[in-house]
Amino acid sequence: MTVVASHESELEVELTVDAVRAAFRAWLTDNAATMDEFRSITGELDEVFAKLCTLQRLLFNAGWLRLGWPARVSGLGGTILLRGVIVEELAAAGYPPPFSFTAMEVLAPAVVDHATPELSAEMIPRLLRGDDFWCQGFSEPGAGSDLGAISTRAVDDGDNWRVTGQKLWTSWASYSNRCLLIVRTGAQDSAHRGLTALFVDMDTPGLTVRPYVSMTGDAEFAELFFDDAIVPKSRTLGVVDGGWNVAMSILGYERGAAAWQRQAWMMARLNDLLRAGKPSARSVGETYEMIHALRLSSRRTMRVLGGGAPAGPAASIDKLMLSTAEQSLFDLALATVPDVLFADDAETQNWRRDILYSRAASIYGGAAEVQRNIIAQRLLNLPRAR
Amino acid sequence: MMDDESTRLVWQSIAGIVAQSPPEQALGELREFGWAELLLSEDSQLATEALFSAQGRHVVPWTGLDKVLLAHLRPDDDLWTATVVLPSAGHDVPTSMLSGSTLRITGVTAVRATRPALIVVPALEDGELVIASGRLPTDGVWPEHAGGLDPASGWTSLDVAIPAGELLVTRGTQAASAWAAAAAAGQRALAHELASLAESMLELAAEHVTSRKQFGVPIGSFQAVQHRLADVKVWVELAKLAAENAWEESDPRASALAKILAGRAARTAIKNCQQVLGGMGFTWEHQFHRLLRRASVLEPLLGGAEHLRERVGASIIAAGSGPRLVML
Ligand SMILES: Cc1cc2nc3c(=O)[nH]c(=O)nc-3n(C[C@H](O)[C@H](O)[C@H](O)COP(=O)(O)OP(=O)(O)OC[C@H]3O[C@@H](n4cnc5c(N)ncnc54)[C@H](O)[C@@H]3O)c2cc1C
Repeated sequence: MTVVASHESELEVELTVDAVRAAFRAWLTDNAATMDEFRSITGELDEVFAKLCTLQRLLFNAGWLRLGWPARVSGLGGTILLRGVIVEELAAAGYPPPFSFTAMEVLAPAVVDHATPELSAEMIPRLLRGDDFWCQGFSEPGAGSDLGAISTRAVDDGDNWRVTGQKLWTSWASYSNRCLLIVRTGAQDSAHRGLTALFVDMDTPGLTVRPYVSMTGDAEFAELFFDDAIVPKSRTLGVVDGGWNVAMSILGYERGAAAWQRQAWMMARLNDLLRAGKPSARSVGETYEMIHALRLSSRRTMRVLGGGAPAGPAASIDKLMLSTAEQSLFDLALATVPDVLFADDAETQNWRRDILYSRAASIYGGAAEVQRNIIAQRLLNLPRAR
Repeated sequence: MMDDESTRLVWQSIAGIVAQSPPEQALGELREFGWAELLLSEDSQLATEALFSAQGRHVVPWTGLDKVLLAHLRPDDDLWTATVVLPSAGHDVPTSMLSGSTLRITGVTAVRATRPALIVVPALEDGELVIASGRLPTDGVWPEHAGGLDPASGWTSLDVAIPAGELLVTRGTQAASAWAAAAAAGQRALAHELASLAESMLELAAEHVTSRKQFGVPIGSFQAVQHRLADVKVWVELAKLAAENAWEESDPRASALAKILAGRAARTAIKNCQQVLGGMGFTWEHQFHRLLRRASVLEPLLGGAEHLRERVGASIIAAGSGPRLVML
């Protein structure tokens, strides 16, 4: 049992799930007054973003967001389970997830695993502290479900890559200053074998970001245009032509660990719904059943990841449960608080946003059909179509 | 608690008894093995999981479920010569009634070749939960054969009135908490059995779609078929995780949720596996209908999924928040 003391913060806690849970709960109680302004954050995206940044910095400075990360990236040690405890207790106490939470669970582990030690030591603390925001540049006009069709090219130019091509649906790209990009370094027909992962600064000359509006009405999405953009080779993650592995490990985290964050938020939203209206007992039971199922499968994946193993194809169960649970919850919201559909006030804006956003849960991170293909072929070993 | 090696041995022995004993000897062999002692010890999870997973796998014509409930209702009696009358199918609260001098027994019970020496009947008396136990007054009232959709399940419905005078009746919080614990334990056992039945159906179906060819290819290469079975796989995995989890939690709702998810797994398996088995799965000869029958009659015992969802939902609404289960 390691007891850690961080220099910048006063945090001293034994690195076990129970000890961290107890300590963080106590801290939340002691700091309830400071934290109160983050309880309900509504309004324009820019304001929300700014508030969430402040919340993230507060949590980082107190040491909580450094738990579950290794010392070489300025972490305080312990496994991913400690991050799961923080996110869960924060949600249970009624606070929203800080802006970078998704990037922390989805992208950051891949950077810790695949970047040069210097790069990860520089970049991870910046992400955790809220100095930097990262986006995920996988999808392209011709490569959505089929990542093997990525055609954004990186050409070898001595110490640099020269990148040309287009990405889209890049969430929050206009708020981000770094991007985890998957590009083609092999021949055009090299499919998943000729991909490479790069860590790219968003202010790179030759990279143009064009934000566009998602179905929710938020300017969440962006298209990224790369026109001979120069990326130093020191920003390569993993080996050249090994980008598929990086992408798969990211998808494993996205399907498994990010699902744990999402369920913590769903539990809180279900409780919000009980305050907002009068749902039927049967449908509350069913929605809770779905969230319970998501917790069960996601906890299993968290434990696998915590033990240092890859998430594997079982994470497809988590992703399928995530979309099933989220859509069940917001279908219940539709039935329970239909008035919000006719309102314009800031208070009910989150319901409208969440109801719409829940529709995407079965599309991003691998569509539900793609997860079923993986379950059938990799977990049940059914024959592949010819 | 046992170490891994002893756990494996116990698991193997119980599975062996279930797989190999002639039906009329199986309970006797479990008794000799010391299963009741294991059930009453801190290893009751092992005793339950091993027995009911095996019951599901082998679709045996007998059950140990009544013993699981008796361990909570009458832990000091001989479990092997006693039995319990469960509430009628679909109910998780007693459906038998005690009023004045009569106990009206309405419920489902396990048929036994020899008449049980002691019957235990959870019942309602003026709306309060009581547990009545005693000897049966006359021959003949105890069913000797099961009928219905799955006569081999060993379960049959019962509707008789007997004089209450000689019965021992427990009342109050003692009765209520014993019943709550017994029902939760029964739901966990059923969750293990239903999950195992669903998994057996999935194995049959996966094997079939891999070997059966139409249009020149295995039917399992069609995406519509793959997705049906992927859904069964998802719910089977979740049912197993939920059943395991129910043993970690002191909240009885975790046991109800385990039974709910096992019911979902069973229903999805019944529907989707039957579909991909095609006409071959619709014959008497094929094993599938035995699994379907068993899962169908077990699902409503101690409350079916729909009923339990409503219960769990109502308790969440009353509390204003969902319970925190499945902790990291
Ligand atoms: C809210 C949101 C945020 C996103 N954020 C990002 C991001 O930050 N970065 C990023 O790179 N991408 C992001 N995406 C893009 C996302 O990853 C893709 O939308 C997703 O991979 C699906 O690709 P597609 O949209 O091209 O759909 P397609 O691949 O065209 O598929 C459309 C539909 O066809 C069906 N389908 C496709 N393939 C199969 C198959 N093999 N078997 C059966 N059915 C199939 C599915 O129903 C699927 O939904 C985001 C998307 C959304 C909706």
